[in-house]
Amino acid sequence: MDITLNQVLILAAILFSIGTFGALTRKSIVIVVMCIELMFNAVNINLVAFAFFSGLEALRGQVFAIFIMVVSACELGLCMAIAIMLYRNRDTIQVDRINMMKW
Amino acid sequence: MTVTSALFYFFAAILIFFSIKVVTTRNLFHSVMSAFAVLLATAGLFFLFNAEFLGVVQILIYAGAVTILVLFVVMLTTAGPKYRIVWETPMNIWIFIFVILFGGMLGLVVLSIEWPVAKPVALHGVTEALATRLFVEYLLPFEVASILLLAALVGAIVLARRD
Repeated sequence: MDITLNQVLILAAILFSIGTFGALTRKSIVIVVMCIELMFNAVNINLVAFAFFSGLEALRGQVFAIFIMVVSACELGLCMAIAIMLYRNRDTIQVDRINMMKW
Repeated sequence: MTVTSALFYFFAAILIFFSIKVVTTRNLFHSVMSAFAVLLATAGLFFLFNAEFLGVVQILIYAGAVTILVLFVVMLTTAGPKYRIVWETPMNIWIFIFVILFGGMLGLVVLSIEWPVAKPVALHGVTEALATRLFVEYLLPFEVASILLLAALVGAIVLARRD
């Protein structure tokens, strides 16, 4: 294996930045949540790479990645339920139209 | 260039290309399918880094369940695949600059630290070791995670219920 840890970390940093950009600019709740999932994925790649490059003895990175998957699955399920409820009540899932808590 | 590094660059190219497509494409359905490709390529990276269990979980939960769930929501909340989202251009430039600076900062931090790297070895039986680790040392967080999943399940049903 001639991949270095730095290459993986740079790849994950690029993916995290792209996900941040999407989460801050897209208007649809669905795409915002998918971009947050992309950021979770970048972090998971980091953790798995750390577990691999630290010799696969403790495997703490992989255990932590499992917990991150649990939390992001919870988050995604709740976000989708909120999106359906918003569509039912407000007829839109565009983020900039959902401003009833502004005043 | 060995097979593993060729595979790594292949998956990295897929990841970056389809992440940009998730963010930039205007069609909601294309965006979700690009996210599907990103999640699958991530599973490939997990297999490459000797995390077989995580790779299978990634394919089953993310590429399978999450994509289906998101597609259901897209189906229920939009008027089909023709639904388009308008970009807001003035905001984009500042966010783009912010994200470039943020990514550059991440890269600088990564490159400036001397990571203590052990010699990577290809182990067999990583899944067994992972199970031992998870059910012995991290048993309490595991149970807390199951309660969290239950709470999210109940919460999602209560939120999305038609009453």
